[in-house]
Amino acid sequence: MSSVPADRWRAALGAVLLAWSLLAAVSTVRDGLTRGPDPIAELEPEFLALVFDLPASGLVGYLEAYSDAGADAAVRMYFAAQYALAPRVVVARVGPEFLIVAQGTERPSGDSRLDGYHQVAAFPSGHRVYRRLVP
Amino acid sequence: MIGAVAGLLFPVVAVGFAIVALRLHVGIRSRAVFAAVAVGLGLGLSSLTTTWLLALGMGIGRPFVIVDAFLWTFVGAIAWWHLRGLPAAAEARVVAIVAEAPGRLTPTDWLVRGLFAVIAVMAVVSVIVAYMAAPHGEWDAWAVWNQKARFFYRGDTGWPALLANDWSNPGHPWLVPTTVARLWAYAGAELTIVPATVAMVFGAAIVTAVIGALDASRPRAWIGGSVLLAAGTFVQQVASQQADVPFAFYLLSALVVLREATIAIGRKEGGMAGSLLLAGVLAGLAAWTKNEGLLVVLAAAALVAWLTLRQARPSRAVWWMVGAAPALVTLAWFKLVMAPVAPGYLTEAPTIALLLERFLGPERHAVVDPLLWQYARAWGGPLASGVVPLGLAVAALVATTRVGRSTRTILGVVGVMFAGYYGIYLLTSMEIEWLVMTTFDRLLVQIWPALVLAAFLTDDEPTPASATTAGAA
Repeated sequence: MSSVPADRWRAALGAVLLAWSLLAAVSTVRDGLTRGPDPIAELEPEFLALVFDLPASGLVGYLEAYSDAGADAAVRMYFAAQYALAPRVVVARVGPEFLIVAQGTERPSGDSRLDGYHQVAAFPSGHRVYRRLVP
Repeated sequence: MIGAVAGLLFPVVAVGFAIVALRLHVGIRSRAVFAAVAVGLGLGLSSLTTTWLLALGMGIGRPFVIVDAFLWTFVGAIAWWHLRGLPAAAEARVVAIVAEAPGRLTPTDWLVRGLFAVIAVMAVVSVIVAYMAAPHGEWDAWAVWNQKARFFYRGDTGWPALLANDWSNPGHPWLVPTTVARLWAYAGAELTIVPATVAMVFGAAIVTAVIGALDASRPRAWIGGSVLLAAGTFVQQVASQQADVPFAFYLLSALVVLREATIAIGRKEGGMAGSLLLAGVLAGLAAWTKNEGLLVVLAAAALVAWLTLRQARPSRAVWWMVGAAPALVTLAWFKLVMAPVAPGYLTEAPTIALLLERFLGPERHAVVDPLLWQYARAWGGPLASGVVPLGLAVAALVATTRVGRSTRTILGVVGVMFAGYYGIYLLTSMEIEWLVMTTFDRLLVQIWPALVLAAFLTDDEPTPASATTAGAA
């Protein structure tokens, strides 16, 4: 007989846990619905458009943002370029024959890092592809 | 997408048949656990075979699909042929052995299962909503895991280029990327739904394994499954397409199967060797999923050593080692030959002086301890914050009771995992605040299913299902 109260306690605890789980699940759905757009879904197709002006594999340079290159937005853009353009290896430096100049990364007043390169393609997204004059 | 589903089912079905044909399932008393283990092993072992084919110089393209499909069809056919050769009454048949006889359900049972179903549907909706908002997954999914999968899938034999960028963690093991690339090859296209489905399958396998391990005939199993899904952070991680949910599955299932081995020993039933072998494979696959998996291997190895020594049968530990060997040998090749780089969080050589300073000096503890407490307390989401300390407290309480032997074991392994994470935070040369902020939530996701299991598990009376199979074994 002594197990009856224990069973009731257990049932009550189970009911509380289920009710709480239900509320928490609703809260998770609501959080998901209020989520903003994913920047990668926009960046990836922008960089995919560059593939016809780049070699099929090998190293491709990427011009780092002229200021605040470590900021989340700048890093995300560089990583998104690599994600979109694999199996090319996108390195964040000048030097390789092909160079990606992503939108907003070039110093507006003229960027000496682009010396020796010429532009071969520009895209509506603002990204451009450069190539070294002397391979 | 149909091709990807076929690619997913080939190894899962073949491994399921092989487990039964080799009688490795005898110690597993739950159909749900059996199904979850077959799914996890199918995906994990096909990742290993994919890696071996890559290492042999085969790119992931159409010829790969033909070889892979032939391999798993062959394994499944051999297992099926072996099963058909057994006497009709043999308990080795899938349906007869993995028995979990559903008794007559009471209204309470229906209510509890119904509520669980509603919560599970909401979790699935959350994952779908997250997928629609971020089809490429969260930051590490596209910057690390899916990016590697693209190198494998797009790069043909030039895939080693994926090791060139140090920021994409070239030393991270390949279970997730090779699985995704393999299924893309079956699909014939690079569909974002494929990594999302892989994540969902592992998430579902975790819930299934927890419910099965808690005995699906009892309401507590469904309540445990509900609590598992109540943690929004866990559900969000399923949607994130990162490797922590697959890792959580391998940690959990290795523990569940080891528990089955313990019970088989205690009841002097058959199946201990098979369970040890399966537990070894699962622990090895944890190490093939993430670097933290080496902690799982260490903790599980210690547990197996203790189990087998206590039974005065240390030779049984060989079964566990045989199971773990394929993944560990592959990992050794990967770490020593392919990507001999230290993880980004451990770039300094750990000299004695450094270890003493970082572990024993008060400075790092003063930074790490409050940070971990802050994140652990907030983990779970707005309505579920505090579930980790609460779950730990409940599990600790259960562990002190007569029926808490399994909980003590699980908590021991979780403790080893946590100590490992803590040690890395103390040792790292990275900025501690940043490392904790970007990793600790995911590390808690890895141990959350095991913690829920520990909090709900009691080693009390034998269940109808276990009684049924005990007789058969």
